[in-house]
Amino acid sequence: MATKFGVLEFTNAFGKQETLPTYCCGHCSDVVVMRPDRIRERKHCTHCGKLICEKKELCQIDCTPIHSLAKDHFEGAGKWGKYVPALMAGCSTVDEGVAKGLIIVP
Amino acid sequence: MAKYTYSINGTALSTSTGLLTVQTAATGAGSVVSVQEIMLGGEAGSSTVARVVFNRPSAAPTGGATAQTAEKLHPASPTATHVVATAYATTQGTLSTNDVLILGFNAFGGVVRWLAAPGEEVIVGTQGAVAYGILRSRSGTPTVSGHIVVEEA
Repeated sequence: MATKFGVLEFTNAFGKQETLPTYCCGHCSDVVVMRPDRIRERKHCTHCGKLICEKKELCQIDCTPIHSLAKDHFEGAGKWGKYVPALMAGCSTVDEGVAKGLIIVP
Repeated sequence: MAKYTYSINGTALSTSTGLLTVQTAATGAGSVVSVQEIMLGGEAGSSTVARVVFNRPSAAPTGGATAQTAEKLHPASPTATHVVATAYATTQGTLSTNDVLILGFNAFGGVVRWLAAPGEEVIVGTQGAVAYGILRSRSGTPTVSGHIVVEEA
């Protein structure tokens, strides 16, 4: 599981600077801001071990190790890169990706 | 793995035109860009909502890009092969429903800065095609300044 976090620094409603930890979803690289009062456990991929977001269907159904794939310019991504075109075109669900022709249904 | 920065100098936000749009090359150098940092500071004279998002567009922008010149973080870095545009000639991109990052703040002196952990950056790029990431206001049109830092893989 990821142990390093990004940061979001912002000015709150009272004009004070606040900092919250963030992580990037291991499957789509969307940024997730970590609320300090959350009790429920963060979701992580049992295959790549990365923390993932909980807002996209595409991130839940299969492992898309986006940072590893990006290092190789998505070449030879094979089955791991199946959802990359849909994720990078802003799709959240399989239906959206199929409708746009970005996911090929066998 | 060269890093570049792009600045926003007292620009009024727009909900229809991107503040900055990261555009990758289709293949080869510049086909994958990782966004490492986004910082915005408001310059409004009174309390004003600024809900700025980084988004992967559902429809790509069209027409010629008005590109901003990349500032190299290291002088020996090669010339950037990706593009960061302030506008497109024909149509601007259409924001998708899901935002990659939401930077909401009060533009009356408010500041917001997101910084990725190493190896945990926001990826812009796809398989053999041009990809886009748009930094744009979803709500509010105050004047802001700031910068983004990207790394070209």
